[in-house]
Amino acid sequence: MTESPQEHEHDPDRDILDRVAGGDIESFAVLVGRHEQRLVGLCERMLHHPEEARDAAQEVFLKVFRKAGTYRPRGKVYTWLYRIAVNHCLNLLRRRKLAKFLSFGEAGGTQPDYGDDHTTFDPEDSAPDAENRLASKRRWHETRRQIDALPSGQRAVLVLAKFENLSYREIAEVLEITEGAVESRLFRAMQRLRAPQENRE
Amino acid sequence: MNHDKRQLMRLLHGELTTEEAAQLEARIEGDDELRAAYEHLASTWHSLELPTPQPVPLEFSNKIGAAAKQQLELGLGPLPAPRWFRTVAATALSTGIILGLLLGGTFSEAGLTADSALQAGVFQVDGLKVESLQAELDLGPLSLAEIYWLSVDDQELLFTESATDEAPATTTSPGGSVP
Repeated sequence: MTESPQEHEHDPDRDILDRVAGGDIESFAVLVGRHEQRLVGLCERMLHHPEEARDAAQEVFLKVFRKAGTYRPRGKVYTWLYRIAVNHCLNLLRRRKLAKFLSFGEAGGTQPDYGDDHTTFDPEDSAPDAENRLASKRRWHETRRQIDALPSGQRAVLVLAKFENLSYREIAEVLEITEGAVESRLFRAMQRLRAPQENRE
Repeated sequence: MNHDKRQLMRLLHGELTTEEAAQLEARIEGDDELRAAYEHLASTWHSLELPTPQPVPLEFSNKIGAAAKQQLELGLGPLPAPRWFRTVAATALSTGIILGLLLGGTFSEAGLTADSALQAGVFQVDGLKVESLQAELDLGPLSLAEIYWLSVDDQELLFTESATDEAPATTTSPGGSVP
C-alpha cells in the first residue's frame, strides 16, 4: 500500500496509544471515550444486535489495550481500531454461522431473529405515526437480511462504505487490501443486492 | 459496461473528482442504458437503511476501564509482541500440522475420538468434507490452523483469532483479492 498524505499528518491518537502501550489506564480511558461510539456503531451494523455489539466492542477495546505496543504506524490509528473491530465481528459471525450449521437448525440458535427485541430505537426516526415506523422497521429488516446474505469480505466493505461513510482509501487501509479490491468487492456486493422494486416483484 | 458500472458506483460514493463526476454525469444524460444502470444502482444504494446505533451507555467506558485495570493487575497489560515472533510461531504451528497430516493421515487416526469426528465431518481432512463445509458456510478457505482448532475444540468452536485479529478476512469471491 502506498503512503497516503494522511500518514504525514499528526494523529493525536498516536500519542495516546503510545501512552496506553506503557500501561497508562487514564490514556486508555481517553482513547475509549474518543472511539466508543464509532466502534460500538460499527459492531452493531456488522452484528445487527445491540447487546452483542456492545460486548464485542468491549472485547475489541481490551484487545486494543493488549496490542497497543504492537501498533505499527501505517495510517491513522482509527483505521487500526476499525481493522481489529471488523475482524473481531467477522470472527463472531463465523462462529455464529458455524454454530447454526452444527445445530442443524435447532430452535434457540444464536442468530438474531430481528424481532422487536433487537430493533434499536432510532432517535432520528421522527415518524409521526405507527405506519411510518413500521415501514422503517421493514426497511431495516430487509437491509439486514440482504447484508447477512453477503460473503464476509463484501459485507465488511459495504458496511464501511455505506454506513461508516469511509472512502475507498480508508476501507483499503482498514482491511489491508488495495483500493481496486475495495471497488471490486463493493461492486459485487451491489450486484447481489436487490433494488426495492425487485423485492416487490 | 462493467467498467462504466464501477465508475457509476464511484460517482454514487463520491469517489470521483469534480471534473470526473461532471464528465460521467454528462454521459449519463445522453446514454439511456447508462442512465438506467445508474438509476438502478442508486435506488439499491439508497434503499439500504439501518437504524442509528444506540448511544453508548455511560457505564460502558467505566466497565472497559475496570477490565483493563484488572488485566494490568494480573500482569496481562500491553506487551510488545514483535511480528517476527508471531510469524515464526504461526509458521511452526502450520508446519507441525502439515507434517501431522502427511504422517498421520486423518485427524481421527491422529488420536481424536470418534464422537468428535462425527461432528459434521469437519475433521475428515480428505478435502471433500472441508470444502463442502466452506461452501455451506461461505467461510472462505479455512486455514489448516482453523481446521485444527475446529477439530480439537469442537465444543467451543474456537478459531485461531491471533492469526486474524489484524489480518483481513479471506474470501472466496471470484476475481477478488484474497488477502
